[in-house]
Amino acid sequence: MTAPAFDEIIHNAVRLRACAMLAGLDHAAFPVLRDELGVSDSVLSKHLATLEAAGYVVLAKATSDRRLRTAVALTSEGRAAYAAHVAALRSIVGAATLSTG
Amino acid sequence: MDAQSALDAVASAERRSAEIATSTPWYAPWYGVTCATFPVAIALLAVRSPGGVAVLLLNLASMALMTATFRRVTGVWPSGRGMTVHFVAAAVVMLCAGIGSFLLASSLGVGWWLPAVSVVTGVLMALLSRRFDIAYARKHGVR
Repeated sequence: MTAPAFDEIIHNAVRLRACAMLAGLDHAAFPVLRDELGVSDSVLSKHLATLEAAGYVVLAKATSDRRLRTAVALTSEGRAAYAAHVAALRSIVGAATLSTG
Repeated sequence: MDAQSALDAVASAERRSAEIATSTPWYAPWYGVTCATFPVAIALLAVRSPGGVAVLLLNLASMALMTATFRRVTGVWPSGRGMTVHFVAAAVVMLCAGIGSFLLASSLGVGWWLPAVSVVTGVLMALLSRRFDIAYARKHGVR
């Protein structure tokens, strides 16, 4: 059971969805994340840099077919922070449901 | 973004990544055919046939090409977290196929039994791969 911990870094809409996409994956290619999140290269780069600075993701660059390809993966710290953040969101929603019910 | 909207976004994104990771119907048959060559390679190696090394290399090449194609087509690689039972089952099937082929080839030589073991191994591994996809998709909320 993950202890709830609200994380301001993850809670941004783009970063939260990026973490959610990466949570079930070992890694994802940068273009897949960009297309699924519906953002530009520069916007995604900026958000990934924020997550990378927090130690939540790692970016692996490799050249294939003479093209630079970037793979993105959640770190173990990132997975833990994401799980704790989702638990915090659930507890907020649960508390709100109890207070209104 | 309020908490409920955030949770909805999380569920949607997790579901979408699982859909992408399980969007390759060709993967399970290819995996099955590749795995079916493994007992053949072991049996040929057991009787010291030079074809054993060739089949083993073919097996490894097919596996490498299959994973590279999957990555290229989907752009993702699924995480094995929480899927241990599937990996253990696959390891048991491959171990039994390998040991069984080695023992049968050592005692009976290469014969009628080899295509049967190969087909059974291939079908079981293809089914396990498909089961992995279904369990993985369900785990991440894909209906």
